[in-house]
Amino acid sequence: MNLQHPPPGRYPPRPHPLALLLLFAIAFVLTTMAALATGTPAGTLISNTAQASYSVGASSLSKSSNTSTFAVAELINVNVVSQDGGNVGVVPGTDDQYLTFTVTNTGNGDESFTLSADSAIAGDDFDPTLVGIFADTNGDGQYTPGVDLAVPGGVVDLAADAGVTLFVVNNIPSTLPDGVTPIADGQTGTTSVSITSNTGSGALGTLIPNGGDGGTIDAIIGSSGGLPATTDATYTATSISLDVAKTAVIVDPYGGSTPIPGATVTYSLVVTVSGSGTAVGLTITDPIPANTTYKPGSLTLDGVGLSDGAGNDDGEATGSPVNLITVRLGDMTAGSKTITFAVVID
Amino acid sequence: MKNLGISILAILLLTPSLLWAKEVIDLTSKVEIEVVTTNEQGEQVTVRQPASKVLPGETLIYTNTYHNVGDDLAQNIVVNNAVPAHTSYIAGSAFGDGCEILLSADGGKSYASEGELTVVGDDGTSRPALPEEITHLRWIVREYQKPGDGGDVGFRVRLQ
Repeated sequence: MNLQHPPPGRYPPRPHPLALLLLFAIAFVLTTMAALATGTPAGTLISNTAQASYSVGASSLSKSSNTSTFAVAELINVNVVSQDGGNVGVVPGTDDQYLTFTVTNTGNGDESFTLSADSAIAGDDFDPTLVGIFADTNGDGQYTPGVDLAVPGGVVDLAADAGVTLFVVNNIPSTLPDGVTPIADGQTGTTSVSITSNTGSGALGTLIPNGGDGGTIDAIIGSSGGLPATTDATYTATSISLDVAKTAVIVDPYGGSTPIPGATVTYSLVVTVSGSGTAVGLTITDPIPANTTYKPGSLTLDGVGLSDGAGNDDGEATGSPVNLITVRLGDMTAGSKTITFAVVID
Repeated sequence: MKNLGISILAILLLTPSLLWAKEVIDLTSKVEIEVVTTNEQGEQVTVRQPASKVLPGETLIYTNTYHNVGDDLAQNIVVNNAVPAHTSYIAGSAFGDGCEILLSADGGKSYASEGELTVVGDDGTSRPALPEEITHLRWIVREYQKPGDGGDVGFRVRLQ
């Protein structure tokens, strides 16, 4: 029997490293980033020349004006947006729990930004232990330790309009800052992410002479709240546990319960979720035992039959001969569901 | 060859005004931005400054000044100005006292007054031109300009 994690890319699986049957998950809202048109690139020369035509007597004459020219200044603007769609559920005492952010250069020039993170801020219940800021090196939208690499110095260089996904990774303590009291369900720990431009910082409208691309044009802070700017993201402690109890009832061809060839074994899998939070994208699979044959049409979920075929409902019996049953339970909060299927002993 | 040379000489002699008319109109163009500042009385006032530190989305004011700096009467004065690249015309912003103001949305091939200008959309039907589709402006100065006369024509754009 296997507990399958959701398919990669659909939900961020964050398995508890210690207990197979302990899961947590949190609804993940994929915030699509609006396509931003940040405007005319910094340094672009905007020129204008007017023409006049006129006549003097019978003569037609024309005149061009001088050419007025200015260079577009550089707008320094950046958006840091949490992609977690809400607080991130974590189990106390687990490592490498990550917050997902996108950083987008919404200015009109090439810009270098520095990010920093602070997990020891006031106003929350526990203090996550900051591991670092990591890039989504393999581009899968999920933090994978050892694969997704740390961002040196927190520095990201972004062309105008360009964006990047970053993970702020923390280890979650098992106790409150007093070092004694265990973290309870629903308690929170916040990480504050700060970003500034390496060109300069200051309030909205701050002028950085010759700070623009190439050093010949002025740069202006365009972030509405000025730079550095901070964005918070919060973990919420949760303790969701999943238990699967499997039982078997044998009926032999002679009215008894002896496991002999021809006897029918009906398995029941009782899946119980307890604790707070939601187990997201839960799928139960169970291989057909050796030396038995799946009894066609015997798969049920909470007493309702599921067809053996794939794709038409939440369950199927697959293989030829059938060697695996799969039931997709979807998102489950506290409660239980029962799966049954039957095999005949060969 | 000799005949051709004589013909050219004859044409030149017959069109003395074209050869000898002296330029009388001077045309200058400037681009400015509006800045809100506080004057000596502590009042907030909007002043114009030469364009600098201009960011995308900001408004620019182009002003073309024509001026008769010669000794002769100038007639049929027409000023043309293309909307600069990376900028969009701001609806209703064209100005010019004593001028008929026309706009073009087809690169200067055809002109109409603002509100009358149409373009043919992708579906083949005609519709009013959008401000950002304006490509050229034209000012037809109604009165002749004596020596010393002149005026300002212009428009506003938004930097894209």
